[in-house]
Amino acid sequence: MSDSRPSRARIATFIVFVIGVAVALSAYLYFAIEPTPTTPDPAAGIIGDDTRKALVELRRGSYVAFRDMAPGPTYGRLTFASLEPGAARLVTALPCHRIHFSDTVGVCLAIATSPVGFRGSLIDDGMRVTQTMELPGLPSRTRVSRNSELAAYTVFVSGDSYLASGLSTRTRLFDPRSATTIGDLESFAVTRDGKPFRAVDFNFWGVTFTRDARRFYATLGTGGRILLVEGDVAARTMRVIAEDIECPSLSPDEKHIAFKKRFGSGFDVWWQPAVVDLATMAVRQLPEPKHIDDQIEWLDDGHILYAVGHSTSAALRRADVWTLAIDGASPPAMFLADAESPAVVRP
Amino acid sequence: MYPIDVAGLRGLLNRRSRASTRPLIARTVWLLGLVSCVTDISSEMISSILPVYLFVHLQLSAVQFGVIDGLYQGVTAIARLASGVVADRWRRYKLVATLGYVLSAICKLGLLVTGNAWTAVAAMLSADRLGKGIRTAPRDALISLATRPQDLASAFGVHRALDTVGVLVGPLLAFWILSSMPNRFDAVFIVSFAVALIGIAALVLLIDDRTGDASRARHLTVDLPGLLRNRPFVVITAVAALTSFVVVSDAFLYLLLQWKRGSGAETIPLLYAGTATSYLLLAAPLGRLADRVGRVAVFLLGQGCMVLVYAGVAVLDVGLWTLALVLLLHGAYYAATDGVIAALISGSTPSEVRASGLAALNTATSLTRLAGSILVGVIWSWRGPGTVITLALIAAVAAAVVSAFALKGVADTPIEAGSV
Repeated sequence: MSDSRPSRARIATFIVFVIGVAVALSAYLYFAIEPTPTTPDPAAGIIGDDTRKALVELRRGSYVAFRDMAPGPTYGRLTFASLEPGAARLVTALPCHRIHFSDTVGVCLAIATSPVGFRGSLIDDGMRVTQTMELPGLPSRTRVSRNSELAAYTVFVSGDSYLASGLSTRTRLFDPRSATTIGDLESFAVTRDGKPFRAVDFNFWGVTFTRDARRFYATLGTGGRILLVEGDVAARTMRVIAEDIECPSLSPDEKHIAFKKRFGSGFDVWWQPAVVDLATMAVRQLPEPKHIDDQIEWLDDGHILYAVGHSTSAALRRADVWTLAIDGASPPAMFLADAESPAVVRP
Repeated sequence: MYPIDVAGLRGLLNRRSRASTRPLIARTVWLLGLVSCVTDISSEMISSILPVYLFVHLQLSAVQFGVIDGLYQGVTAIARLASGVVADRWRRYKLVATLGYVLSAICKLGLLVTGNAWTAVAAMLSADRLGKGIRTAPRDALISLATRPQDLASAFGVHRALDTVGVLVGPLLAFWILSSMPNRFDAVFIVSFAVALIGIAALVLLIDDRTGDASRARHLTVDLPGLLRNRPFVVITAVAALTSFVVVSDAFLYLLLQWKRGSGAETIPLLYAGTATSYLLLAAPLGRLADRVGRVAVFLLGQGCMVLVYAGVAVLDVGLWTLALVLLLHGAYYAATDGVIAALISGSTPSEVRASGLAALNTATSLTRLAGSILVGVIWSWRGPGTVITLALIAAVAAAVVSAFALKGVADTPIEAGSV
């Protein structure tokens, strides 16, 4: 094997190649990717005074908080709008991936890129970020109880699984007014058919609270099965009440649970919205063929809201929020274009 | 008991004792180190952001993730072996390695356009791993064939150190891009692709793989049965496979540390960086030490480091300083074993089957590593982390003792001078 110096021609070709790649790359980044604003300092306030006034006005009525997805400077920001069609959007400076609100508190889960990490922000009545929490993994779901006393988040934790490459979830209940941890669902006792039920592969996700925040519903995944559990916050217990009901969302009148119904197998899996009547446990599949990912939200006792993504590449992610009547009588309608993670608040 | 070369140790301290007309580290090795460094910047950019990209941007489900992982482990095992044999048979190490690098580069662009179709994403990730499996053995063969037999561990040490620079820089570059252009994953993929292209250009244009003999024109028969009859080769491979089996994967070690500390998953990237920094700093010096005082001795030293790591996790309260010490020893384990084993294998296989030998080593260690991870997973689920750490400590001690006896008869000096 020789170890001769590369010829001058080859070195020159290499240098020209590197310069060429650098120029092409710079040109691409300059022209093809429009600048998006960088993350502001949340301490500086998330809204200006004018927006704050408009927002105080808006929050006297019913409104929806969501993640703005319109390409441009407001992309990814916590945004508010009234429930009227075509209502003006009040955009804050706070980037959020998952959002939920009650009438007095809000939770925003975000991916902070600098410094690297995942952050939860708690937002008070006056639209101030009162607390931030370091999250132990990727933001997945969040919910605040209607009485503002409890909140939950689910994150993906990589490397926490028993096979080195797998992913597992971590679900935590906390007080959204003080950021105090109430407990991780992993530490609650579970029963099935009255008997203690435990396994090391338990994963919990997708909490939804009752109005008084004493009880909640959530998903328990174990041994390849999806179970619906009903939990008691004070007793720190959960019991399995149904199977194949994933990522529940309790209706305001507490009569129905909207959920994601799983189809397919292996890695060819998708989810569509469905509703279960809690009095009869009868499941109704809804006329929505599109795939949904995030937890469903309720617009009112008869209608649900859910985000449908329509980006198919690594370019800026796009999604819209759709609405559907739970009687299944009418086709889905677009509720908010360029939005995801909707949270409906009614006084 | 082991051939610790005292004169060599003295020579190490007295740096001018060695007179040589050829540099210790061949130009080819430096250039291959550069190629690996650049390629690792490219691939680590992607792997560091992959969970966020898959689960937050594309909103793929985590349940789908586990399915693909087992798939590509099997694919790469076969590809590794095949690429080594083909490279030997055609004597085209650079060509086969280049194919591996090109395949991985294409996947960076592929991920950009496949979008959220899980099958396509899984295919791209598998092809990327396949490319890595293809390039490793021919590249290590190039390193060994460009190096004098007595300097093999030094050469691999330098190469692994340069490689680790890329492992550390890649994630920083990716996060810098995402913080200056939030949500623009396409920018990360494009930059990663461009960086990969530069690595390929360096390999193709700057590295010379003209072999010194006339065999280039004809296809050689690769004497694989002969390789299996080669006792030092078989013993070294078996010892390396045993070590990979008993050493718990990085992910599990970091989980054990978290379990001891009670800290969250957010610290895991820092633990990876700690091990990588220690590996980066120690790979070249320990490689040099291996060439001077004996590769088997340094390899056993590495196993000793691993025993100390487990003992530390089992016994000590993991505070900041003990954590630093554990990560230092963990990096030292890699520095004293990874390149040194490649050097031992290179020293014990004739040059005609060098890539096949290295490929067999890679295949054996990756399969036992996978088996070990599955076993650790089962024990962890069944008995919890406390049992894992106790058993890991016992297994590491046992592996070190078995290795010491098994390697006793292995000549530490090369059986063949390579084709230099």
